[in-house]
Order: sequence, then structure tokens, then C-alpha cells
Amino acid sequence: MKKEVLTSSRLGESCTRIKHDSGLTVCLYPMKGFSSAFAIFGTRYGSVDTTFKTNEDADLITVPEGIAHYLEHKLFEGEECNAFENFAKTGAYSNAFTSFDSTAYHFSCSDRFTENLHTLLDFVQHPFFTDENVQKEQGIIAQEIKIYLDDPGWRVFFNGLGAVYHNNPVRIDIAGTVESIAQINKELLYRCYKTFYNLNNMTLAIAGNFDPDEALAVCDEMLEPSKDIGLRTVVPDEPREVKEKRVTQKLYCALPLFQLAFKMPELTGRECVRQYMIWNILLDTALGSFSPFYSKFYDEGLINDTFSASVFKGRGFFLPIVGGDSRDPDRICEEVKKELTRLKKDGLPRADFDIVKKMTYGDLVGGFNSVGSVAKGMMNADFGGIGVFDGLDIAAEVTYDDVMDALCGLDAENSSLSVIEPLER
Amino acid sequence: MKQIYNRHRIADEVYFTSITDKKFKVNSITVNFITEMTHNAAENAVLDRMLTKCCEKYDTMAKLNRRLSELYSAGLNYSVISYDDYQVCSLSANVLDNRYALEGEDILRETADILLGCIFAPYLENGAFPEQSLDIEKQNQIDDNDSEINDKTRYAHFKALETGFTGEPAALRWGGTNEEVGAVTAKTAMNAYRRMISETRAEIICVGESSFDGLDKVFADAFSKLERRVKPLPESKISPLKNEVARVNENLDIEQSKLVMLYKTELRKPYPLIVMKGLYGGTESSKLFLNVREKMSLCYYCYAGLLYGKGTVNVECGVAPENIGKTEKECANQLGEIVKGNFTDEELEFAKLYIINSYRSMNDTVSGIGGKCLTSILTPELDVDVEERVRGIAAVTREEIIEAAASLKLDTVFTLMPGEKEADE
Repeated sequence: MKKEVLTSSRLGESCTRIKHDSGLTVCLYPMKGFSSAFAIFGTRYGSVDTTFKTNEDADLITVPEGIAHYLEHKLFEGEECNAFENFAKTGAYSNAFTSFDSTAYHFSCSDRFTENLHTLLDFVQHPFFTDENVQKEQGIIAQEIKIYLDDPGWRVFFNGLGAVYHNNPVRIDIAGTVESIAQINKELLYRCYKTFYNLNNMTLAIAGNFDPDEALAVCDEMLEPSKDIGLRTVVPDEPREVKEKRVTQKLYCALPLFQLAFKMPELTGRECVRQYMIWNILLDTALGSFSPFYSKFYDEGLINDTFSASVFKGRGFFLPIVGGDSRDPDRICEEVKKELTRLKKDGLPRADFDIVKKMTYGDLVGGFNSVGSVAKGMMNADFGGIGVFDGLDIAAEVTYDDVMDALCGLDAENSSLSVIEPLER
Repeated sequence: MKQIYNRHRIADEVYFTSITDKKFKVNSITVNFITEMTHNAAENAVLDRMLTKCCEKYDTMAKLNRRLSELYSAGLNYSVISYDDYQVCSLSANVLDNRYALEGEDILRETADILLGCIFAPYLENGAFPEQSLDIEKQNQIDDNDSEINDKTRYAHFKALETGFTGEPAALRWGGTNEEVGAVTAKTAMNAYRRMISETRAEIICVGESSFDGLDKVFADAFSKLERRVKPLPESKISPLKNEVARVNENLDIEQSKLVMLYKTELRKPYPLIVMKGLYGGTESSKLFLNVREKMSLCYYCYAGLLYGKGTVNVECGVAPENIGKTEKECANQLGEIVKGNFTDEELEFAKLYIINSYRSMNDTVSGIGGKCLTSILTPELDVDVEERVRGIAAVTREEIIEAAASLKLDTVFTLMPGEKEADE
């Protein structure tokens, strides 16, 4: 077992990261004064991981979309009882989520922590799939997919991803499609489970009111050592150019919704986090709430409080996105591009850049204020190849020149606009 | 670490509550103006928006946002909600704790001053709110009202309440109707402002690391300059049962149907109703979740909520259109099982533990503590002290659960179904 203490001088706090003998990475962050603990057990397996290979496979394998999410639904169901029932016995709150590049199971509790940790490590490591219970889940997942088909916020996002990417599976709904989930069976679930739920591919992160020694004792008892199987996931080659410049759909909504996404190459590790900080600082300086751009178009009634600009990133994708509601999405997006082009030439205001750096620091420190955000932050940092405090240091090191370099490298025309237009009511 | 709770009157119908908890890294100050829900709701909602956009000292949105950003991303927010028969208009400020300020600035005090400035020294032109800003915020409020349709679950919820509480203040929209918003003028907005600061009950709630020393006096001074003429807040009334069940269906071009059932009760025992709601549909071990969703796979979501002040339990489901009748029947059947006493001691215990866990977890977030304080002020039967609430939950008996379930009578059924847009009442 390899132990490492991570410390933040800015926060005056520390946590421990352990490479457990089983292969699992365990991150522990006791937080004084909190009543509850939050534990999250996650795998680097999300909806984009549809093509992969291990040491045991001769060739790359491609599976239908939606398996990561389907597994998330099915894992709660054990041979003897549902994991929800075990958590319920202690009053813990439990849930799970699947994202583009990870799946995670979590609980929070104010009592009987070790019992709940036992339940979490047990059910995630012991899948129980039958033809019958796999079939039964199809209806529930199809209903979940349908909820999002009616949701304009969800659709503007996914339509936008579909317009940017030609081949990257990030363009497909996390839950898959009604057609793709119909192809999922018990064998496929076991196949993907064995590949991605290998402990070498997973992280357990715990924050809040718990005893680290007790937590490690439960890990020692419950974790079943995994052999590293040399898992490799493959993101299909992606052309530099966006697939479509503009896509639109009609749904019930008050105002048109828009999303303008700038296509960029994928990034990994610390550089991905650094570029993430750079781009967020850039977007806040250029288009944020105190920028001349924001005031002008807010006062014109072309944008409202929903306007936002941020970076959507993960394994295999990195996408600065500007979006919100607007009466005239095409015009506002043209204005965004014009403003970014102007700032390339004139430069971002230096004083504004300094203020945005202070903002970024404040937002990052604020992220350490609750047990849930700390635990999730540790897991995500580990999945991104950095420590939980590294973001603070990386953001502090961003210079004005870094931000201008990023802006000057932007091809504003290599972007896609997704619009949801209101359906007549 | 112990929380230090202190609530006292600082002016006529103005109360100041501070909760100090050293574990937090941020502080929050919220001023809640509480009034009976009336047809003035639209004016209040528009006003609430106006007050967070600028003030006398920072006379444009850009200047105000710039200063807040300099304070390490301090937030200044408005919120308008309906709570039972009341409208609660809140203005809040959130800021990092002073110990994280990089240059030793007193960022809490400055953020509090900005909040005070927004409330007591708004930006006016010739003694009135500027027409142009007013028009923008009116339009934003109308867009917000209309955007209810974006989230079909929320839309169905409010449509059901509209029918369930017909003729009562709680049936009115939190932000007024579009016609009422459209009718707001500079003059009526000014009247609403005077009403808000001089005639409305105010609850100021501060939560965070700080002891908030002296802040009560600052607010007391500000209110003392006004001539306060506050009418006591009328008591919120429970909603009477209709002579016959109201059934309303609305058709929209959607993929998934929504079902909302409202049950009414005259029982005034909060803890038995809370536990009964948990056992019935408030947890992952509840009758609705385990039977209607998991065993019968009738819907993607299915839960029960409690609007205690209105004596109403709401059951809400997302369901395939062909299953709507079956789901309604099964939800009623599960309630009938509780009335018959068909639940185990274990099920009851699990529901209690879940609620106790969620109460204790409230103390771990600034927003959870603030919300808990406001709830206990508006619903005095609910203790503010979490451990008192825990004792109340723990003491609920099997007989009280049966009594609570038996007291529920079906009042309203609202369905949202796929099809051509039409309303059928």
C-alpha cells in the first residue's frame, strides 16, 4: 500500500491518497465539524467508452451505446436484495450517476458509516444480472431517455454535440437510444463490467465525518484484488472541422435556447486542467458578468441571467461553450464571435483579467465547503491525473500571456450553433 | 463544533438570526421579505430582480458585478418562491470567509454593505426606478414564467397545485401572471418597494464561519430610518377538500406522460405526516419506489411530497402514457396498504432513519442551515434545532402513521399526456 499526503498551504488542509494493494486508489479527506460523511466509488467508464481493448483481447471491441448507464442501473440490484434496501437500513442517502467518461456510486450518512461503506464496496463489486432483470430494466431506461427527449436544455446540448463531432461518441446521449439499449443483454453487461470495473481503473473518495483507519480496514476486508488488464479505450479519429455549422429543433420552451461550441482538439492530464482554467478565465474576462459585452446585450434584452460561457471537458473532448436563452440566437452568436475576434486584436483588459483570477480563486476555495463536493472533487481530480488541490495552484499560475495565447489560437468559425426554437403552444 | 444560534427582533417585524459554524469557508446573509401571496406578487418579483442589478453606489450592473467579482466572486442573488400562502422575496449575499482573503481585506463587511446598499439605497432616476431597466426585468420575469414549460415535471406540479388550491393564495403564481407583470410601472414598482421595506415582515438569516458581530445593529439602523407600519402576517390556511375529485388533463406534444395526485388532510401533526410521507413515497425504500417503480416498472420516477402548511400530500410520477391509469390505481393502492397497517416495523424504522439522516445532513451546508431556519420560522411546529426534530421523528408510532395515512383524501388528479395541445377540465 502506497500512501501520499496531499497538502494545500492556501487552504491549510490536507488529505491522503493511497494506492491500495487491491489496485484501487483511495482518497481520504476527514473534515472537522461536519456531521455527515460522503463516499463515492467510481470507475473511469462513461458513455464515450464504446470501443476498447484489454490484454486478453486480440482486437478492438465495439459495443452498443448506453451500456455504462445500463450497468449503473443494474448494479444496485444484488442477488439477495437491492443495495438501496441495505442503505435504507441505516438511513443513508445513496445514488449513482453516469457521465460521458465516468460512472460513480455514492452515499452520504450521519451515522453507521462503516456499515454503509461495506454496502457500497460490496454491491459495486458483485454484479448480479439475469436475462429477466436485464430485460425489466429496459422499460425504465427507455422512460428515462424519453424524459430528456422533451427537455429543451438537454436537447440543445446534445444536438450541439452532434453538430460538433463526426465520430466521437460524446455526441450520443449518455443513456444511449431506445434502439441501442434494446441490443443490451446480460452477456454484454458482464463483459463491460469485467473490463471497466477492474479496481485499477477505479477510485474511492471519502470526505467528512469518518475515521480514516476504519475506512481503510473496510477496504482491506472488502476489496478483491484486481490484476491490471491493460485496458485501453479508443476515441475514434475526429476531423478538425465541425460536422455541421447550425442545427435546430422545435420543442416547448419560452424563448429560443442556443449553444455555440468551439471545436478544439482533446487534451489530457495536467495540461487539460491548465487549459480548462485558461479558457474559463478567458471566457469570464471576455463575456462574463462585468464585461462590456454582457452589459451591452443584457441591456438590449438579447441575453438574460441564463447566459453563460464555460468549458465542457472530459476524456476525449474539450469544448468551450457559450449558451443560454435569447430572442435572437443567431445574432448573439455572431456578436460573441465578433467580440472574441476583436479581443484577439485589441487584447483582453489586463485589469479585468486580474479580477477574474481572484474570482476563480474564490470559486475554487468555495468548492471545498461541503463533504459532497470535496469527495467528488477528489475522485474527478484523480481521474484527471492530478491531486485535489492542484487546481488551485494551476489557476494561480495562469498568466495574462497564457490567456492571450489561447485566444489567438482560436478559430471562431470552427464552431457549431445549436438552437431550440419554441413550438407553438 | 457547536453551532451558535441566535434570533432576535431588531425592528418592528424584523428579526435577525445568526448561526455561526466554524467549519464553513463561506458566509451567507439572506434578507427574506415575507408577505401573503396576492395579486401584488408580480410587482414584488420584478422589484426583487431590479434590486440585485445595481444600487446608488454601483449605478450599473457592470460596476456592481465588477466589485462583487473583486471580492473573490461574492454572489448577490434574488429568489422569489411561494411557500404555503406566502410569497417570500429574498435577496442574499454569499462570500468567502475573511481568512481566505489574499490581502487581508474585510470582504464579509464589504459584501454586507453592498447588500444593504441594494436594499436601502437602490439606484433611482428622479425618484423612480429607471424605465429601461424596469422593462428589461419585466420581460425577464415574463420569460421566466413562460419557461416553466421547459421542465415538464415542474410544469405538471404547478398545474396540479393551481387546481388543487383554486381560490386560495397558494394557487397564485410566485411571479404573478404575465398580464400582471406587464402592468408593472415605475410608479407601482416604487410603491412595491416602499411596501417591501416598510410594511413587510423581514427575516434576516446569516450563516457561516463568522460571528456576524455588529451586523444586527447595521440592519437595525437601516430599518430604524423607515417608518415601519407592518400588519401581522396572516396565518397560512390548510387547503379544504373538494366535494369531488378534480380531474384535469392537458395534452402537449411530449414523449412521456406526467401524473400528479394531490391528497388533502386536516391532521395537524407534522412529524407523523412527515414519517408517513417518507414510508409511502419519500425514500428509496418507500412503498412507491420499491413497488410502483422497481417491482412493477410502471414509471421512471414516482415519489410523494408534503406541503404541510397546506395539509397536502403530492404524489408525482413520470410514466408511459399507456400506464397512466394503472399507475394511479397502484399509487392509491400503496397508500391503502399503509392505512391497513401493511408495513413492517423495519420499513417504518428505515423511513425514520432516512429522515433523521437528512435532517442531520442539513447542518453541513450553509444553504441547508438557512433553509431549515426559514422553514421553522414559517412552520413553527417544526423545531429549528435538528436534534429536537430528530426526537420528534423518533417518537412517531405505528398508530400515528396509520392515522396520518387514513386522514388523506384524494382531491386532485392532474395528467399531462402526449397529443395535440388542449386543456380538458
